[in-house]
Amino acid sequence: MTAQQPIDGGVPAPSRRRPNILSNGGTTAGVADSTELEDLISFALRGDGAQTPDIRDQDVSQVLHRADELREKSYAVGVELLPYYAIAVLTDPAGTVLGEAQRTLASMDVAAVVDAVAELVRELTEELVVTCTARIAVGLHLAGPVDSRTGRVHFYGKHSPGDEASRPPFVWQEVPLGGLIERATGLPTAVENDANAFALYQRWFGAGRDVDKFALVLVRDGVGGSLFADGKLFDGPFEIGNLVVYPEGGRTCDCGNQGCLEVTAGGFGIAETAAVFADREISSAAQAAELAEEFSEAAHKVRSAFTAAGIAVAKALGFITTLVAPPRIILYGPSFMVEPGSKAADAFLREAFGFKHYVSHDAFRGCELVVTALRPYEGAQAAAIVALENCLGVTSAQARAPRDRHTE
Amino acid sequence: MARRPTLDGGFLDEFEAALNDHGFQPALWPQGAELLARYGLRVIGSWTASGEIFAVLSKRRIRYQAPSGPHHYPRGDDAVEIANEAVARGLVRLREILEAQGWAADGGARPRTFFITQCLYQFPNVYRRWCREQLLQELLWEAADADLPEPTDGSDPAELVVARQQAAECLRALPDDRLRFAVRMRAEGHSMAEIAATLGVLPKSLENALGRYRRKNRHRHLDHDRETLP
Repeated sequence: MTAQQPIDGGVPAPSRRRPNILSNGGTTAGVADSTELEDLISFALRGDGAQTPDIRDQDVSQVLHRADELREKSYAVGVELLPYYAIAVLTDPAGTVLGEAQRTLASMDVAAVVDAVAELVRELTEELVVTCTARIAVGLHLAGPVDSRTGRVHFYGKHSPGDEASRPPFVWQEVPLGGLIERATGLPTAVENDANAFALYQRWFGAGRDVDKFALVLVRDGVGGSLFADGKLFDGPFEIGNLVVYPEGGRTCDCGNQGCLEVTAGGFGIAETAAVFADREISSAAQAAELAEEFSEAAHKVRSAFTAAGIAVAKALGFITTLVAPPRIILYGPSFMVEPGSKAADAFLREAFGFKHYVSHDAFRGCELVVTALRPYEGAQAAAIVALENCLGVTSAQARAPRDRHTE
Repeated sequence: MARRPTLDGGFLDEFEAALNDHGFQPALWPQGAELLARYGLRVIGSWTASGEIFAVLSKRRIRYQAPSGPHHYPRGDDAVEIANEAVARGLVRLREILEAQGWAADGGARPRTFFITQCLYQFPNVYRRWCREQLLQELLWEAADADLPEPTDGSDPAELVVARQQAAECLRALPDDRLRFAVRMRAEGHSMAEIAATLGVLPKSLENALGRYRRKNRHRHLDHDRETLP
């Protein structure tokens, strides 16, 4: 080991010629003698240290480029808030992902969630927060009704069947989440409903790019919806999950009605239906989908739960088409439901694609259904787009230009 | 032909003299920034490569996360990257201070020394991020349960560096966002069922994907061993 190599847990051993770096010298913070630092610098520059680097023009250019980037660019942190889990990405103004982070949330207490979100934001922006000239904003979405203008969450709650011990049920009502995150991070923050955020994502990068109007249905634990028209999101609730699709015999929804779309086609609903049909314990739709792959009587019954979910979604899509006649509807769902090839997905999609049977007028039946699977960081990217649009004023057209040039 | 800016050519002196006489002038900044970047890279790069940076920080009473072992001293490309980032940040900070007229010629320190101080202030954040990435890569690698050759002796920094580089390569090579997400969740201690439910994929598909990834890695490492064995 040479004299300049560090010693475990300590500092490098001094050489004879080196200025006395290691002595404290009695200086105090902030008033250390600049001459002393200049001595240290002079030693480093003399080149007689074994590791004095040769400076390449390429390194200098990279540093200057990086400094410009740190100084002038805008960035967005997008956070997808799920029950007991948060996924975050850092993007540039074009929506390109620069960093990823994810975290288990020990509690869904509002203060704990705000702290965790702030920590994720810090983790991702740490390297950017050099200067106040860099513009950074935060976007967050969750599965509940939100006033996106004020950042207030009207309602957010989850009750995971069969998982009460590790993930207790929680309910948020009228939580000023945007303001709380702004205070915790010091950054402008936008909060949006998850389906709306995914609609913006599709507008920027997906099947919403080439149409003026489209609807989106998001199937997860519950079911959400969004409508994009006239260059913007529909300004109102689009609570398609609470559309009653099985008025007789359907299970009771959190909203109080019977047979809502959500309790039949959402993940929790599918798991419950499958459990009833197969008369066995099933904790998630993913588990039900796995069971559906088997060759057994129970598997056949479980597949019926996916068929029922498909019919429920078809009814909702037919209703949307009758009501607003979008040229395209985007159906977002977990891969086991929307990627053909598994028995669960085949059962679900066969029914969902029959939605035109539920459209009231022939004139509206030209609507195209585009099915797409949820990707793990796409939700957080969607949240970043919410921040870019609402806090930094970036539009999809601005973001789209370089990507289009690249692909042409 | 334009004079090439070098530290020895006196241009930095000229830049500093202009700063002393007239304050910050945006027109002079591009050339000044290049000179300072070159200067900062030599100084901060030297200290980072040798590990002396920590002693300098201590001397300047700048708080930092102390390296907890030999593998927490950045080396090679890592040292260059960290130094580059600290210098880039130092430049941004310096310009901000100069623009706000927060630096005065009669303050004592020369601009270049003041600039190095700014780089030093930036270094701990850059270093902490690097440490966190190292830790994450180690955790991810353990979680992926892949077949990296274990270092024979944990006290050998060279072997640890090689193992960490291999782990980093593996993470970068994760071919699919779902797989990357799953490996990160595994690192947090989640079960395969939980991961599958969060990802929206069949548990069996996830296990198969991870299995395929492990097998592919095993073959890659076997190929690599074959190529490198004498």
